[in-house]
Amino acid sequence: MIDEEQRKRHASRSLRLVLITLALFGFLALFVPLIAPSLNGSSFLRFPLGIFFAAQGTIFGIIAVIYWSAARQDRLDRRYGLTSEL
Amino acid sequence: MSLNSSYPSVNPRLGTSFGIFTSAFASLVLMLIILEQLGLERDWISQLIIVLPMLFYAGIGLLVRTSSVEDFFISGQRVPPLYNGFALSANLVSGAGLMGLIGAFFFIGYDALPIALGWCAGLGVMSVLFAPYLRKTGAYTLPGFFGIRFSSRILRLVAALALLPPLLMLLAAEFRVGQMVGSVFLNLDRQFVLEVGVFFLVVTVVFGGMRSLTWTQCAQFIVVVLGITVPLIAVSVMVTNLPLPQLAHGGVLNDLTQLELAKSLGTDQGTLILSKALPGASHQALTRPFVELFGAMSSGDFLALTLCIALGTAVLPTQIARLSTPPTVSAVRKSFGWAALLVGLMVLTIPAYAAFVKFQIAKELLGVPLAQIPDWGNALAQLGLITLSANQLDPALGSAKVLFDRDSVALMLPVINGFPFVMIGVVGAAAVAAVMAAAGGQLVAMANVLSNDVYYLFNRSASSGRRLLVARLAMIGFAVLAFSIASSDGVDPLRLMIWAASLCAGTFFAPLAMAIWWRGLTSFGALCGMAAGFAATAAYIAASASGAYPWFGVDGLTAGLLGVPASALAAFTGSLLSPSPDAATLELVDEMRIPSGETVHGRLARLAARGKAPKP
Repeated sequence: MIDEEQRKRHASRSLRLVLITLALFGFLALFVPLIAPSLNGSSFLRFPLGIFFAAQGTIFGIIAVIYWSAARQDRLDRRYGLTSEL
Repeated sequence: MSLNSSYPSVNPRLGTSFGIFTSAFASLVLMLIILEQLGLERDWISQLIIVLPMLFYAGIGLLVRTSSVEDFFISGQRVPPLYNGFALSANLVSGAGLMGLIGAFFFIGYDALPIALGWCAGLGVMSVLFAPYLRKTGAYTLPGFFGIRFSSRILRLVAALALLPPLLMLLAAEFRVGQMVGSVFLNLDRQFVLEVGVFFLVVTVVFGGMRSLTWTQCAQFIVVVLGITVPLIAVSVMVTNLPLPQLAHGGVLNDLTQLELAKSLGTDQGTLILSKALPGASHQALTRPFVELFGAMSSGDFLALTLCIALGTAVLPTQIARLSTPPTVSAVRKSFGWAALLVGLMVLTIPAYAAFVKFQIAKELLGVPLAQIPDWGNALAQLGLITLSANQLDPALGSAKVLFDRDSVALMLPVINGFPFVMIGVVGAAAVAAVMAAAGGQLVAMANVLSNDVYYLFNRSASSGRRLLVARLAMIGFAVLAFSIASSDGVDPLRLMIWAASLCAGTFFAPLAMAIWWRGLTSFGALCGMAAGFAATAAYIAASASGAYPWFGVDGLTAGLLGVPASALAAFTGSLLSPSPDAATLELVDEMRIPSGETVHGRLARLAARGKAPKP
């Protein structure tokens, strides 16, 4: 088991990671579609660029953020010896 | 080191089993294609392609029986991340979601995106904000979590009662879509189709609970992915020469926009309020351009719907029931990774699917007189997927009036492209599989809640046999209840789904987030929060349905956005008004944050067995 101070540090670092992750989700799901129409002038893979960002880019982004965040949290847990993985 | 923190043994041949299932499904399709060429009647083909997979799911349900409480309620805590990911995505995408979203994209183009974005963002929010901590608690259900966190029976009961209405709405939505798809293929009375479907559904989950649900959902989601992507890839190769429709439909969008301009399909009506902007369940004409953001609804409504779906998805009770099934906290995170990949794949596929259907419809069916429409147009009308009528001003030359059914847009793709009839059945089988997977999840979630958080709460001495019996009876009862809701007129699956997301978000999001992230939340505060959130959301939905003026521009569909602040405020005030939590509760909140070791539920159960704590 770990001592109180380390537990607190683990908790605050986890909280920071959660807040960063939530901010990224908010940016991808709410902000990107909002600015998308202004990007529709140019195109990518024959998609209007804004549509591509809003419909495809955000989905890829959210998947990437979920993986990134899970990997960071796993590393954090391992560093503090708080994992049940064998 | 406790027993719970080691990996329970996992069947090493799971991958082989699902490989065999996938090839068996593929060979069934190929065999039926051959038989169709040899002259097998369509009635037989459509019955075989729809009913054989259903028999298989029921077979899994009959094989995976269990009489153990752990197996029945949390699948024995040994589901590997990949398979849990399959089950999570099957719960989320759901039949109503799949068919409704393809239809919504078909009618309002990229303004249907909020639902897709909300699903993905909600999955992500759940994976970081709730999932690891709920898993560490080890509760079987969402009310069970509140029961452990606050050691409160009344809170657990209130949470259980608040959770049932949204789940019933979701279940009724699934039944409705299943009935629609089933009656396209089975030449039977609509009511009878639904009865048969509900019977099969109950058989798949009633004997094995969560355990049989896990394996049927995996098989069903495989059928969903194959049934939606394979026909689409074939069309994509025919139209664009590329087998990757998700990224290759850019050119189709350009052509579609040209066609819409030429045939003046995107007649601009300006933006409508959200509940009018989303297409309804009745047959209707195409009036919106596909490639346009904020054309049908305002950007404010777009963001509100995204946020509402995301918050509702993040606390979806069917998903929370799945959090206790993987062996460790880290495995839960991994299962969210897989779920995000699978849901992402579906969400990238759905707009492409709708774009190809709309392109081909706009190219050959719209703006053509009734006498000159292509053969497949009449085939669609015969199947009941579209309604054709002559132009009233000039029947001979004026373009025919075509009305489409939102929830069966997906079935049109194989018909339009002249695929063998089996392929229409493959898409139908995918829709049926999506319906059964999600409906099974909802049925199991409700039965678990009724058995654990209502019956067991008042009968602490109940034997495990009695608890399982109550859960099984509850499944049958809820199935019958949802059946009667789905049979009533004017039920719109897509709207039911969004209302349910609103109710979940409004009732549970704030109390759950505060219970995990704020040590000061008290039992009374959580109770106030849940009650206020549910009341505010439900009242706003009811008021807006009767045509009241919207407050703060919030549409009735996104009522959850008013429920979340209402419940947060009530939970905060309630906590300040009640005595602050005792040391044992605070210790429990800290314990929840530590991802290793046995679950809180496991520890309490161990203590209870020695008579040192009440049963969790």
